[in-house]
Amino acid sequence: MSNKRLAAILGGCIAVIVALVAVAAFPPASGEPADGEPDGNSAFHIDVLPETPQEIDGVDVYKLSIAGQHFVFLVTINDEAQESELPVTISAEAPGAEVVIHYEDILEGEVAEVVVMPAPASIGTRIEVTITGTRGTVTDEKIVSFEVAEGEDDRQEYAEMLLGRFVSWLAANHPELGITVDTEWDGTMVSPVWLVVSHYLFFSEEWELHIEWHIMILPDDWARIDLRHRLDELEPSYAFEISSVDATSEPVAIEVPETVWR
Amino acid sequence: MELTRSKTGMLAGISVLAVVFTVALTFATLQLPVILGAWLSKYFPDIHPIMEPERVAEFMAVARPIGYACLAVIAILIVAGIVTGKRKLSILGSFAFFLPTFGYFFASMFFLAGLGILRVLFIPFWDPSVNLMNFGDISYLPYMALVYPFWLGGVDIREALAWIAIGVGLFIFVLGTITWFYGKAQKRKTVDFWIYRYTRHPQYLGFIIWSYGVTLFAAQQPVPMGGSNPGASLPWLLTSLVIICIALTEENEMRKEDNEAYLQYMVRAPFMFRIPKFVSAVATLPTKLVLKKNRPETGKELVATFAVYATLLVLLSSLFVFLDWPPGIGWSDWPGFIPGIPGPIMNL
Repeated sequence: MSNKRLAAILGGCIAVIVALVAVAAFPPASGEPADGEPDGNSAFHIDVLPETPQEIDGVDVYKLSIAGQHFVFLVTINDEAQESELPVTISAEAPGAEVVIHYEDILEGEVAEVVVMPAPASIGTRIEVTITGTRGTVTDEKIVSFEVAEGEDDRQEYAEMLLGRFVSWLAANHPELGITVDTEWDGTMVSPVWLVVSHYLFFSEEWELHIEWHIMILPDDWARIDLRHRLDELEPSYAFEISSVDATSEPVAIEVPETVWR
Repeated sequence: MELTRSKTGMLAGISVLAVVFTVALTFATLQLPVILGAWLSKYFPDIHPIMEPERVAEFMAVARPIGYACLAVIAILIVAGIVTGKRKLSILGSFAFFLPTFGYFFASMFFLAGLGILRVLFIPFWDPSVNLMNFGDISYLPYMALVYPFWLGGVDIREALAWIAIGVGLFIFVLGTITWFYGKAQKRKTVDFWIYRYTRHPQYLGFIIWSYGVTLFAAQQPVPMGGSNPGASLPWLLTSLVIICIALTEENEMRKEDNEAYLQYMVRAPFMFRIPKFVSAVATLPTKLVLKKNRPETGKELVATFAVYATLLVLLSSLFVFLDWPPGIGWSDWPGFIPGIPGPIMNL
């Protein structure tokens, strides 16, 4: 084979591969901003989870909290016109409560967290949370509300005991989750009116861990957790159950709930 | 070779030895990465790409040029080996190119943490703007053909298939190695008995099947934090092509050294494994069209053959890329959740 022929074959092959890579790297312009509209001002809308109030049989039903509880709303965006490379900045206001926002700049597919902590003075009132997304000159706003009832967190100790049991098992059996016995968790009570099954939420840097337990004697004293990865997941992705806490059963994987608990 | 009673006994003994080696090497294939990963994570700790983007950028600024340099060295090794006929260079290069696939076995948020550091070599193919790793996805066709019918019947054989490929590949490799050493001890010019009756290159065939199993495992690894796993189909495809070119180089040398005997052996035993004639005709068509002969014989012809086949297979793989297939999170989840059987990633 002559050098000329070899060069022609290699040149042809390289040209084909470069063309393929170029098409893959620079897809047709359908994703570009339309009609000269600046990318930074493209339309979007925000979605907030959970929706509260919820209309049930024509009646608005509000979620409940207690003073000091962390009520965590999950916020996502939907780009209407195209996929923008610029994030939407989430802000929120809630008179009568303190507001903290985690991951305030989000792109489509990412999840911001608006944490609303009602002040003791708000007991007996309704907290209205105005959540706003802003990108360039475009904004979208959602209003959600929940009620603040009298009550105190009397579940923390038991929830932390259960957390410890699940965490040590997860650290040993699911290292891919990156959860270790040294992982730090912040807890908050949720669903104060629920009695037979109690709920608690824990947050590490990466995970939201919802724990629920059945207040019942052996063998029906089960405890369950589900895990949502913060920033990029809107629903839990893992769930585990201890079938009987007093019988010191080992956790097992169970069907993952479709929604986060609030 | 006629099998006398003592030879039958020896063959049985060697087969048992091959099985023992196969079990040990299969275990090592899957356990060594875990041990190495734990050790390497002390030096290359995990970084959260979203919470610590600056650290990731800092690390990548150093790792990127290293990755490109390493890849260039490996490419030079492979091409130099093929052109000059120094096979060991090409074998070393192709194995080094495949090695980072083990980086997928280490679960981490940052793809270069722990054992993932091996994947520094894949950086040129792993750019956020265009993921070239999927340009070898045509390799998954046999996997798809085997997995899908079982999946329709509610049976998940994905992981089992990877295990089987690793085990079978190693068994063929070990048997080939033992046979070769035995043949050389008997001072045979051409080793053509035992497993060599069924394939002219059992070691290379074993490597290709073993590495296919490893590639399947790599593609099946769940990626924490909702990320995606691009798999390592392109490295496997290119490595396998290089290995085939090396096998062809060896045959050219054997034909020169032991022309008549080796030509007769080539008629009796298939190149890698027996395939239907029409498949063979289609597979060798590009060679015939480009070289106007049945097989490459010189270094230059081998380079041209490699380039043509690599381009064709990348072209075929581009269908997967442009159709963004498989949908969702890719091969780690394909063909999806089987009711009653937890998939590698749940509910993502």
